[in-house]
Amino acid sequence: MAMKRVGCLLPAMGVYGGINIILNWAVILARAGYRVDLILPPSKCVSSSALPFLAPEDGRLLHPVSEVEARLHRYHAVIATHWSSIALLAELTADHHAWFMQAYESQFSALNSPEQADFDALVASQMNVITTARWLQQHILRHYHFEPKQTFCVLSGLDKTLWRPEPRIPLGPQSRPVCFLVEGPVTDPRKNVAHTVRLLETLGVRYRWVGAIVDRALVGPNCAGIDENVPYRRMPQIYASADVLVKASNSEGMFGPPLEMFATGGTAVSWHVQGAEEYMSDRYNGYLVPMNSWSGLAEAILELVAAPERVRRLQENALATVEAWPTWEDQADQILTTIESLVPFGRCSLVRQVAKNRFRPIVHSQPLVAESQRAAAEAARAERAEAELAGLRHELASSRAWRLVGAVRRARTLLAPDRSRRWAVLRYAGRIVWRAGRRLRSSARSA
Amino acid sequence: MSSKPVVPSASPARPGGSEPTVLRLHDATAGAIGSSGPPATAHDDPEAAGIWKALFEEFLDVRAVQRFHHYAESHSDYRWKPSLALVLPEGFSAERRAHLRDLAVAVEVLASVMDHYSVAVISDSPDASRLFRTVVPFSAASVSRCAGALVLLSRRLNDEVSAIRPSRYVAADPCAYRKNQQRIVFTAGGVETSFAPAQDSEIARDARECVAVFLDEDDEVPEYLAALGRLRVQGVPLSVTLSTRADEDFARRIHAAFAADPRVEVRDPEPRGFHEHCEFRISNNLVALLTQRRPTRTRYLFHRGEFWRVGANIPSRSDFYLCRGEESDAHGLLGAWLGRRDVLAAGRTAVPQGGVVEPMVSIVVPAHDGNVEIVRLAESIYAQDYPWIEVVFVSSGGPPETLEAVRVAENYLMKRRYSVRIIELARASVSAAARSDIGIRASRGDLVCVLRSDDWIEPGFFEFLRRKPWRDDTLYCPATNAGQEAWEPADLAAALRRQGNFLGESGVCFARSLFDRAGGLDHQRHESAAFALWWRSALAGARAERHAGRLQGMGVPVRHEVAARALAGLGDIHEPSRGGELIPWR
Repeated sequence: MAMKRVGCLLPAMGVYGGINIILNWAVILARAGYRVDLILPPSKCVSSSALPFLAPEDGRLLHPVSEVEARLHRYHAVIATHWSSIALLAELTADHHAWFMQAYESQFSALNSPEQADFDALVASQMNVITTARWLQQHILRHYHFEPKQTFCVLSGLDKTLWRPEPRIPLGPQSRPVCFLVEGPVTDPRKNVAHTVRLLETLGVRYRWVGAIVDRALVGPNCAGIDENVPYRRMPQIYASADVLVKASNSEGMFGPPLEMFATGGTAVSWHVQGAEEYMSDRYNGYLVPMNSWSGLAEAILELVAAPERVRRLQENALATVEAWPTWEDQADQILTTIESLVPFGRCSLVRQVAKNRFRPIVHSQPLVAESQRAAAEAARAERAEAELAGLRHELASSRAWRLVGAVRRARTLLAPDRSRRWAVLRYAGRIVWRAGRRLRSSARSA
Repeated sequence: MSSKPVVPSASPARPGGSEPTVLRLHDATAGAIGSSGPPATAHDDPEAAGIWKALFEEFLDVRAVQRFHHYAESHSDYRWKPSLALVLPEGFSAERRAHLRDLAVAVEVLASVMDHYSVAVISDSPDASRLFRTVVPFSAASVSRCAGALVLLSRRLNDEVSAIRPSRYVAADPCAYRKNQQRIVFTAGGVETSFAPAQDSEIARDARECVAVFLDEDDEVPEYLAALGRLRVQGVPLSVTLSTRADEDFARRIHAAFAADPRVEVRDPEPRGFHEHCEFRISNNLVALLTQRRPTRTRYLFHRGEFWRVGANIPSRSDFYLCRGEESDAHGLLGAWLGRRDVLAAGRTAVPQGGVVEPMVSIVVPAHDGNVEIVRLAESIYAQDYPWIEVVFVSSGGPPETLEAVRVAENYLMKRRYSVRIIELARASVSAAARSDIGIRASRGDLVCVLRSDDWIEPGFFEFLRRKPWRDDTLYCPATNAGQEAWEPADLAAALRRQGNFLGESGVCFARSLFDRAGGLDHQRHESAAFALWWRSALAGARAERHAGRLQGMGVPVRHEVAARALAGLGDIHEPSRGGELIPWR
């Protein structure tokens, strides 16, 4: 029997939490006997040995291929991992099409941007959707009128060989103060990292900061250390250097960092962002405060600073949570079942959405272009007319009648397409003639 | 129910020293992982299904029913989820209406925290097994496996359980005949009363006429009846009013107990003259005494077998009851229930208000009807630059298109990364003021702004919060509504009296703490509910300030004559505040 081929469409390969989850899925499928192609844009294609997160032997199980090559194959299932894959997804031949939705990606785009519209368009095509959190599954069922059989949820497992309890100096009333950890790049507005650092500085509590991109100008005297661009394998040690992870993110999918902090023996205080309820319980294994509430976060931080014994208890419970949390191996059955349960999907609605997306800029931009060209021509003409009128004013100030008539004729020719300007010129010329006549009359009287 | 005393488990010794250690095992006494899973309801039994249907119909919020089902089903395999215990005493009966009413309230409370915790039902009652698929027998060990507990029907049991885990005695409002602000009894276990004990003779001496007695059903009723009997022996005439939690069974027992004494009048829940002069002087439920409008005379609480004189040192409200709406705020609920009492007693003063952090604004939208207007309002909220916003929609029995508009608005606003919640009241008859009050109480922001569904706000409405530190004693009204820049507390009351509701019905931002101090909204007022709130806020020391934000729509100031009429009805609220909060609405 031929090996079933599964394709995962990736916009790029990099060290992101989302890519880690996709690669873990891919390895599980490959170990189960599927041939897994990681379909990448030709310019971003990498070799198996360059795959992040994975051990070399696992990396060798996967086949990075370019989009061009992927078009030549027939797949059992192709899985888009980002809304921008919609066009290519429609081009690939497969028995099943699915979208691996790790987050409500519409939140990532700028307000009212075409990307947000594209996201909605892709969801509206109603292909199979695989989510990594229950709330996401519920959300699309509630808002996008999916058939329940088309939506799947497989919670992400945890690599417990990497994320395991790390040694920490015990906390206590006579021991060291509670140390907090800020995680995330300063550039991502969803993570609110700069605000978090500022809050911790204002509250005067000790903290560390780890992120792909950090801004050293933000930190103050309470910062115990900054770790920038740390290799993934070193992250558990960084997490272990603090007691409590502080997360003020207001857009997440599965929300992995607190779980990883739990695994190292720490706890977390976080906004109650979507996905937190998958494993966080307020006041049991961490503190959850209302999303977007800085005062709530500040209160929780101060409460933990004042009660190290409470931090210790939260850490114990957090560790118990992780002990009960599944590993990737535990989730393998669910992943395989999901791949085999995908509903066959005709590409008609997908093609329709692609067409809509392709035509949208043309349909919307064509009249706009014509309009803007016309406006530019008009503006240039008006500019020339203004310059000409300025010259005319100067000329007319010391004019004679024959020069005036000539000037008016030129001005009318220049401004002929613009009726209002034509009359303005005539009015202006008439006023000058009238003034000249009045001057002549008054000089005649005086003479 | 087991009557054996429950011994709290000792925590294991903590490792000391300063050497780095690896955390190996969690505290066994705190262990709640995978203990029982959510309480799958016993729907196989048609009779039980009928009871559950009736229970769900008692819920205030229809969405709580959906939440309960969702988490009970979708999270059933979440072994890592800790549990909260629902403890039903041995005497719990599915035949008693009073018991089911309390159970409905408890399940609604639990539904709001089921995203954090699963629920373990602990009971020795045979009827518990009729309603729940998994029931654990009561024991100290079973309670200790949970992070906290809700106890039904027995205060004594609540005290016992609280020795092991933080627990609350939960019950339906005993004074539900009051038209305003329904409440949920939510009494902390093991709380020592701060009142002085009172002798029977003192009460008898103090009684100059027929004494109004409030009688709620709990496990101390036999002792309470005996104590009332002693008062009767001393010649005190009694007028006993039964709690609204009471069912026919309980009423029959009480009538029988006093049948032989003609000087004891037993009334069904609605007390005589409660509109004007009713004042209970003796009660076995503190909530009935605390929520009285005009407590002018000494009151006595019957608790743990004796009478206590209710003095000036009234304990914290959060130790005794919740106003409806507050049960929807999972964080507030868990904070009060499982949080440290010393921290709660200190109040929310740890973080200096204003300046340090930008406040979170809760926009509350009572939506009875309207559809396109709701989308227009959502669009205007979406267009705000200010990012720290929560939106709470409160709908009540509106047409389907209103619900659809709210749902569309939810999806739209989520993309803006706002926190969005919907409360769907089951009763269509509630007033707009009630919808607003419930929404505000469910909100979690530092500041609250109520907007009518046909209003909309212009971009930059909340820009004033970024310009200077906000104050928790200030009513911030939009530029559209008022002409002056600021009113200090003394000026505010005078200006309200003189000009009527110049602040407007809609779009005013105020601190949630100020709302609590002012006692909330009067559910029975319609066009002047907001005005009454501003008035009470002024009495609680609030000032007002105009900001540059602009509101569009119908939120125009109410005409002076309407406001003046409302003010006439508020003539008797010149009362001192009690425990930091004005006397509540009845």
